[in-house]
Amino acid sequence: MKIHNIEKAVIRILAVSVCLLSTMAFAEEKAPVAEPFRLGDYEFKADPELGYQYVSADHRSAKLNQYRDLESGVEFSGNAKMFRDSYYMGLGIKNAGKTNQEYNLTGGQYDKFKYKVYYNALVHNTSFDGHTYFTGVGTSHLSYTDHPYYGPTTTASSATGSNDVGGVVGWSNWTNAFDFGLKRKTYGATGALSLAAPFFVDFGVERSLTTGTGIIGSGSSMELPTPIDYANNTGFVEGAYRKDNISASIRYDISNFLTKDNYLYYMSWKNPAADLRNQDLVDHLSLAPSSRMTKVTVDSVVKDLPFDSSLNFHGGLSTMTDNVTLDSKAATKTAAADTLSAAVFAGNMQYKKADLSFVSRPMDKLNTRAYLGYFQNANTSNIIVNTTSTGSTYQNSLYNYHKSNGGFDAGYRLPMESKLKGGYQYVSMFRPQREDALSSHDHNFDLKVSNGYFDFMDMSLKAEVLSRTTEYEQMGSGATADHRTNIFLFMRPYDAASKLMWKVTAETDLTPMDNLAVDISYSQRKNNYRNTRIGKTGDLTHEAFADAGYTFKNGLRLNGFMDVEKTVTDSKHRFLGTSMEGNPDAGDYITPTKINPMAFNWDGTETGTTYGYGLTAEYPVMNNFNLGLSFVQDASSGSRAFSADPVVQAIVQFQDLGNIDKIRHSMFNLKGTYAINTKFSATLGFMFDKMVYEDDSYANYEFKTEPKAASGGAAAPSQQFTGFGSDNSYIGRVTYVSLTYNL
Amino acid sequence: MMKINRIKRRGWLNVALIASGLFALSQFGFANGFDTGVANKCKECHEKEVTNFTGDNTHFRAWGSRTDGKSYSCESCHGSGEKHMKDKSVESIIGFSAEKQSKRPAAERSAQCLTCHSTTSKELMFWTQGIHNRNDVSCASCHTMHGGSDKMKPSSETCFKCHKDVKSQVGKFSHHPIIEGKVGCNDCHNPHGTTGASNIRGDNVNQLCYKCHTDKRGPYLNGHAPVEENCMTCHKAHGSQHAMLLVERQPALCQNCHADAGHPSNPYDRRTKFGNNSPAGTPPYPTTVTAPLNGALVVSARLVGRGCTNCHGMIHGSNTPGTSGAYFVR
Repeated sequence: MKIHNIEKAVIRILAVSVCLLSTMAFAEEKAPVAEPFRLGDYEFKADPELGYQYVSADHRSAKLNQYRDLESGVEFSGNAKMFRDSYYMGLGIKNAGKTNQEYNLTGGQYDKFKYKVYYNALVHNTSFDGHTYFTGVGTSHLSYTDHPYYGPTTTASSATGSNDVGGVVGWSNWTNAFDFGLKRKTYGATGALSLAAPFFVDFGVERSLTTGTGIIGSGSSMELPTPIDYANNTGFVEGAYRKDNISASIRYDISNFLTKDNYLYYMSWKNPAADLRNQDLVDHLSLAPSSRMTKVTVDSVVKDLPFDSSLNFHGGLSTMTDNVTLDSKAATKTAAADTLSAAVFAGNMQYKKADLSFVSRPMDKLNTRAYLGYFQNANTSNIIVNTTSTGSTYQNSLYNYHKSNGGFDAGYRLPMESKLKGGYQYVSMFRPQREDALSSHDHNFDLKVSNGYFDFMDMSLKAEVLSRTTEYEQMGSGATADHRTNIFLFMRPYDAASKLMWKVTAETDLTPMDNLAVDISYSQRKNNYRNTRIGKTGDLTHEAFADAGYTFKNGLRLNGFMDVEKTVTDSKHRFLGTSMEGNPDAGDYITPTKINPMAFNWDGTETGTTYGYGLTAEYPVMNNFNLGLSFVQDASSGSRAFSADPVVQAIVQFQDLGNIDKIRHSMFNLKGTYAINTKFSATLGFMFDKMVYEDDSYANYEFKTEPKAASGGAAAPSQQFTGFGSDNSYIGRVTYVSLTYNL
Repeated sequence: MMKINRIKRRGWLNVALIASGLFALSQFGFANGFDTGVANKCKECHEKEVTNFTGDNTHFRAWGSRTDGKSYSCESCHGSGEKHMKDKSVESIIGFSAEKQSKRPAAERSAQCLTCHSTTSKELMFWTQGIHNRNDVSCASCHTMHGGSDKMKPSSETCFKCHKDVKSQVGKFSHHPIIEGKVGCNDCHNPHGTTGASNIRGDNVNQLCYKCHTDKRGPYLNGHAPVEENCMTCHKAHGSQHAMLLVERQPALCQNCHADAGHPSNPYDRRTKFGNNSPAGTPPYPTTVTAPLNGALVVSARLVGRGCTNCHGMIHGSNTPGTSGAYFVR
């Protein structure tokens, strides 16, 4: 109640200020300008801002604080600069003392050297108030004393245990609450020397520390809070030679990524789905490994070649390595260990990159570019053969690929302020280990025509076409006892599938009056995965954007924008029961008398729409009083429709998903800034921020799904959740006041 | 924790020491290389522009400190003012406004800046072959030359003036902290040009993403091929209405590729939401539907919550040996 009274009071003060000041005659004198502050040979500039913000929210919300630190309290930010002759130094401070604070110290001598020393804290809150029955959240071992389902028993003999509420596990018993998110603190320094031009040297070091609690879903469908605690130490040094007609540089980068104490490769957890008799059966989960990356980059440009041409080259060679002592128990939920062909996984990946381009301007109206590129990902890690206690084996496969591209583009100036640009690019991709997309060949075309003949209008029309042909290895023989493998003959992964894509974009910028500008653009993109029988078959996207700005004679500036995006995605699938035929052309095997086992084809159509609009107004009520107002709303909605042959439809009776990421995010900001004199200015403002989130995947959220039968003769809880992502709606209000001193 | 605190304390001590050292370096001589006489002449007509050019404007300060014997002024960029004093037309002076106002093509305007900056800035190495240069974007399209040093450095808002689709995306439900000011367009893209696509600061998309998301780079015993090839197969870099910047909601996203027998082939419809804990064969499910489809008709961890990654949590790669790792569940 008190909160609302304060907010109302602030709004009233702002509103009354606007009314009073609007009626006052505009002052004749010019806006106050601060003179530079000098002390001997030194000149100083500074604008420290000290303020206070009062935050109220309907509940603790990670989404409201996703990348911010919205807490009531004192705020301090500011910049300071100092000049003396050819030397300069600057200090920037943002959000001092907050979890997202930032400090930058920059400086140097013009034409000689420059440096930057920085500290930057990033907070990323993902979900608050998660619940679990596990103890040890934040560490690499999760455990419990009493079985979460059966309670303090060592015998799973009944379908309901003492911890059970109403026949299923009650999450109210899960008292261990925690927040998901991470904090990253990055500090480092960079420098650039040009003391002996044309030779230049750049260098930098950086250390980044990340801590927090993440979320990883594991086998047996457990959402596990996982520890985040690692450091990344990076550094680079670059030497360059730069003259008017030739430049070249060589750079060395290194990155050492270290998990906490270099041990956090695995976490262990008591798995209640396997540990029915509370025998302390420990399951395992692999986490990010410590790793090292080194890279050498070479760049060069030769200019002033015939036809105003230049030759550009970029080459890169990077290596990523890690050494992970494997946990042979990790693959099983029991104590029995698997046999591994090697105790250590020695990861080794190399990226090789080379680009060459030739750019020229053979005549004033024509510019051209021809280019070639090559990229290779070579994975030379070791193969680990895993043999289980029952004798079955599995070995990892290493993914390699290489990509080549080449093309040309040109732009030509036509009469009547028109321009024509176009290009063609060929891309080939080879993936020896991907039998679902062995190789791809892309033909890309684009053409753009633009015109600026009229003073009040610029317009352009662009068309792009991509034709991709992909070759596959036959992935299923169809000769096995389980004909379900035939489905692999028809599945096509959309990231590499053959397709025809086209996109058209139309844009216009209008300035019908000096004080009015309007930009409008529209684009449509369609992907047709032409040879896909099972998988994503196509999508169609419409996008439209518009913004406008108008300035009134009294100085009031209005800006508005809107954007709309709608995407419809189609996919085809085949439901397959045991031993059923995977070939979708084999038809549906489902009638009221043929339902077990069954197979049928079904289609999915997902529709997603987002839109946003906003209006901002800035009004210089007086020469020393500015008022700003903004309102922005972003929203989205989505649905997924299921369809099939009418016979199938009548039996299965699909129920469409009507709410996929239905979001309405509204923000309102009112701010008044008053320049008290040439040195001081005061700001008073109010921000309202509201998010409404609805989604079928989170509706009626529970911390578990249905009980399911488990070995041991009793029902065990099935999937178990922590609440991650279930609370995205919020209402937040921030009232703030600050005083800025201009030195 | 103790160790981290020590490192932090040492870090601040180091910052202070470095700052002191750098400050000590700033005690050197200075000669004024800026020709105020020319500037004052220009100011007679262009008072606002010349006034804005002083203060902490980087050009003004840098030129003023030069000791190479040359004289720098408005004419260093705009060309000789003599003709312009007689002929006030825009054609008589080098202007940096858009082509319609300045009557000069973008390449010609940029060439004026490149006279100095092509050798002093490593960012401009590939300017001639960059997409902006080839699309008639000039230096002054993004940089404000006459203001203070802060104004000379473009922000993300500068990019949004043309890239309206990106402006829309960064405001969506799931986004990188761009509007919060923690990530800028410049962190991932070099607007001055690279040899790769979209001006990204990496030899491919993944190498760029690994700079911040280092925990995803592996190498992993069991890799996920599309993940190793391109993060953008599943994620939108600028923003999405779906959590985790996903291009589509799970399980639909995963089923676009994984449509094989078993649970990937099931239609997870509205009946698999939370709250539908009734066994199959009882209302609201049709009595004709039994195993195996019933597994898709009760509340399913493949739809609720985060979907497929409720179980396949190590989707970016796993170091667990065997099939558990291969299926990214451990």
